[in-house]
Amino acid sequence: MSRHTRNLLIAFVILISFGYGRMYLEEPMAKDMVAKHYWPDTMSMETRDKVGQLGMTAALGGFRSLVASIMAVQAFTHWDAGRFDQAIAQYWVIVQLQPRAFFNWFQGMQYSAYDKTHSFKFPEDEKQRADWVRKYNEAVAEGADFMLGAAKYLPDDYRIYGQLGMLHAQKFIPEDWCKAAEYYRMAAACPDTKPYYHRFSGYALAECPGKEQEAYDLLRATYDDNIRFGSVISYLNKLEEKLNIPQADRIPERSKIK
Amino acid sequence: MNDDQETQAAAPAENRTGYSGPALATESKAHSMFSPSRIWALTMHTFTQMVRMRVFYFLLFFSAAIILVAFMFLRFTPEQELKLLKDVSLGAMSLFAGIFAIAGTALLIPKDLEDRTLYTILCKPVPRFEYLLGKLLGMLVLIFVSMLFMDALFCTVVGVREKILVKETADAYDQELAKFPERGQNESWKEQREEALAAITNYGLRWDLQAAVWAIFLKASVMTAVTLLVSTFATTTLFTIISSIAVFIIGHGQHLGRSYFLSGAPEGGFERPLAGVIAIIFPDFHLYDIVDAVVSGEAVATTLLLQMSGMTCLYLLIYTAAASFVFSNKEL
Repeated sequence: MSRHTRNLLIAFVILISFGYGRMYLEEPMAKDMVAKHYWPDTMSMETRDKVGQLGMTAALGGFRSLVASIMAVQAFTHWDAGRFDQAIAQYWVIVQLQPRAFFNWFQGMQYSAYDKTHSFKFPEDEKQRADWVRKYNEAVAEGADFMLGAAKYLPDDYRIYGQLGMLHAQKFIPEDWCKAAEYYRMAAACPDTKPYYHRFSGYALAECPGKEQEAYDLLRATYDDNIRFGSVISYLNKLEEKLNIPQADRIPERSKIK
Repeated sequence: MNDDQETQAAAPAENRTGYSGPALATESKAHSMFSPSRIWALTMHTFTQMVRMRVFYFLLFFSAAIILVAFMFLRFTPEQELKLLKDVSLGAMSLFAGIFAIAGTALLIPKDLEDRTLYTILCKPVPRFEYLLGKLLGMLVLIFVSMLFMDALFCTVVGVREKILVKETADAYDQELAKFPERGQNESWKEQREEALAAITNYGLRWDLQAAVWAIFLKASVMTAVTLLVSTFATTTLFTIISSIAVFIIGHGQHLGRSYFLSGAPEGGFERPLAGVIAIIFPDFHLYDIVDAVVSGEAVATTLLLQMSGMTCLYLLIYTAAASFVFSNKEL
């Protein structure tokens, strides 16, 4: 055996030994990185998402963010030209590239639930209204799908549930106040949340049939905490009437908002 | 050789030359097998060699790209603008560092052979592993300096853009307040204003961005070592470049093979051993992918950076050792 061949063999043995040894160093490090949310947890995903994620990782190497940004610019161009379906389709790919970037999910939701729905011309003819409402609700539902997708990757992000609450309270026809209240409650329970989601949950509960007492208790507690915005007072006034709260227990303020 | 000649050759130098003063510096300094100063000389030579190849011209492209991105998309929301700027800048840094690591390193040995510099160096008492180490460090210095330039430019542009966006947003709220003074009493409006400004700051210049830049540098360092190893046995530069690009791509999916191999899943034909082979042969570049997390606002732990740096040192050490063995008796 020549010296060169012998050295080649030694190099090969070094690489194989190192390769085998480092697997046991790298695997816990990789698991730790998933636990700390540097990468999405592919193990907990559904098959479709998992294939998408793993494929993207392998195929695009370290350039996922760059590709995502280029696609975001393309989506913007589609949006600018009023091609909402293309823009939304682009965003379904972008969110696979950067699943932990809330902004991408949010943008996809905006394009679908707000911009696309605004592009539907309200029909003068009453016969066409049902079709209009169906198309409108489909677009809002796709927006909600973006937020539900985001919730899989960012389960503790209050903004996701806040947006879902808003879609159910303001966008769907007719509004689903009970679901909106539930989402606002989830937003209020998230870490680093904003205080207004707590009272938003109360407003939505007040509109949800059968939940008036719960709404009253929540808003009364808000009021007692010295948070006395116009909407809080207005809803309390309405609930006091509806629930026949004794005069002595009612709040002294009367809202000008009807 | 007769007896007299043998005695003279074995005698101390001063006896042979008739010189009896203090030992001459050149003679007293024994040749060492490992010399940091020799390696440093080779490092600087490699750096200068690459600089003379006008590699820094790429900085013009980088500057143009990020300035364009920073000021072109004026109709985006502030957060979207900053995110796009960071994505593109870090992506471009990663791309340029990768190109340097692969193309630059692939050229090193063939260029030295073509210029005959390799023979001039190796005919002197310079061990081949020192030559390789010098080449590797030269490339690392080059990548590090390029990244310093890119990082400085990137931070400046992000910082300036963030300040402009914060000012514009605050002005917009102030104008609204001037138009509707009653909003000054509205707590929700005030919260909204603070939230909007905080969102911009959150997407702006943060220390965690430096962690992403460092991870890009570490990944490029491993890529340099891999390319150097390939170039020690490759017969053409094209082969080195193509093989290294293949390693780079497979390296990003290596973790899939490793997880499958270590999962203990029941063996299904050749799949698990194949996954094991991929995991053993290829480096794991996915470990360095923290750019997405950083751009999304995740904080990077110091321990992670230390682990990443330690892993990189290990890669560099092992790949350079393997390259030295391959190169040590290679016919040049």
